[in-house]
Amino acid sequence: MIYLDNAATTSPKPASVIREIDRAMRLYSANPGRGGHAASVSAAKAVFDTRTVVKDFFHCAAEESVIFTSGCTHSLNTVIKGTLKKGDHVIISSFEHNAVLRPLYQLKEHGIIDYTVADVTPGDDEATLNAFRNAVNSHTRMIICTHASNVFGIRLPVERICALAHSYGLLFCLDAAQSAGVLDIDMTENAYDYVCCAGHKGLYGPTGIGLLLLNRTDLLEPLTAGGTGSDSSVPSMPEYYPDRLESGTLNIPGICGIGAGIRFVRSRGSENICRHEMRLIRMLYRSFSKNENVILYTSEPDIDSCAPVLSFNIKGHDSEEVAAYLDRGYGIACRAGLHCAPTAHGYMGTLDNGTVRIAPSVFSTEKDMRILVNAVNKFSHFS
Amino acid sequence: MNKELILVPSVTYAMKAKSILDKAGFRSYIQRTPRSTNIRSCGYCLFVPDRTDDAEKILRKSGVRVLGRAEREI
Repeated sequence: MIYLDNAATTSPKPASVIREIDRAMRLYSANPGRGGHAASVSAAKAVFDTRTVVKDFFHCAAEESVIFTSGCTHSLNTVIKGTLKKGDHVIISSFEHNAVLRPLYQLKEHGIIDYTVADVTPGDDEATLNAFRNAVNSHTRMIICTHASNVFGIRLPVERICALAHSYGLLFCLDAAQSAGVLDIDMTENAYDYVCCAGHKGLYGPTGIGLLLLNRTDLLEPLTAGGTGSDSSVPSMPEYYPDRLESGTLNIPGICGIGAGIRFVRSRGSENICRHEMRLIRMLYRSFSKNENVILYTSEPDIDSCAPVLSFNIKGHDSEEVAAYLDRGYGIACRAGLHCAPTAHGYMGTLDNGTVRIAPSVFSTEKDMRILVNAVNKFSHFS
Repeated sequence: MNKELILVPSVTYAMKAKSILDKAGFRSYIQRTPRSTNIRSCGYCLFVPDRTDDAEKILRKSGVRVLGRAEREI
């Protein structure tokens, strides 16, 4: 199989991640933060050590600024539902994933909030910033913005949008599902209020684990309430992090796995990984550009304005048909359709047909790209 | 009495406190908080047998939430 669906989840996982999950299942089978016995303390130590790894990687202020969640969607829901109050207004970009759109829509449907979609103008950061600026009103509380489109790879000027948000006294939440591990995220330098990450994509951890990184000490309303092992005599959730947002038994194999994933990324270097994947994407783009039957939706991707994701279509064919052909004929795994991002497809005019999305990983090769180009050329010329 | 136990609100703070004290050259041990303390801790505290006052100062300076001190029950 040639796996090019790494924007959905990276595969394969590094051997070090698999080994660490296996080790965690064997060594840390006790409940951390609950018992006083050595096994419980040892599990708690493993969790804390991973918090430190995450903190150092993203330059967070403290270990307690790192919240383990079940995934990026859980993190985004925690921020959205833990922050917004009746009457609040939110601004999002035209490239948001349903993990942002749906919780906001849910709150809007219940008459709690309203939101505005600010159009992103690829290649014109000023126009993008103006769209966000023009959407601010007296009820605006927060801007939520993806770091890069999970469909088209287009990067947003998130540092500047964050600064804009702060200049209006607004909160800024970064959806880093697609970027963590590939693009630089510095909680100290960039001063994002909240960053939400998937563990199983560019951080090469397992599914079922995500991160919420906090740059604020004021208290979010927890999405779930329950046992934390702390303040047990009190019926309300603890008023300190991470306990406030981590009720229930933690996913220790997932936590150890994401720690190993981050160590793997650190050993390769995020920049090197990004450069490698972008080289493959550019190679693909140039080859596809020579085929008049291939439709591309952006200018040639470059490392400063794009994440390593490429969408295309073949004239006269449904995106799902193309992906099925690549899978059956060549064992190439890629994702077609709407990629849970209808707003992005609507904005780019691909809502009806969707697109075929190619997303390489650190393990993808030039040979993989050549086989894909060959397959696409054959399909487009003979069908 | 020296009150050698430093009480913290969560197991994360207990781990963080131990990590800070290890780096600062203090001996410390994570253990369960005695029931007699009446302080709403996480159930874990740090036993610091020597220079406990200095250890507490370092922890507070490092941003660790310290809930109080207690005697060790033997």
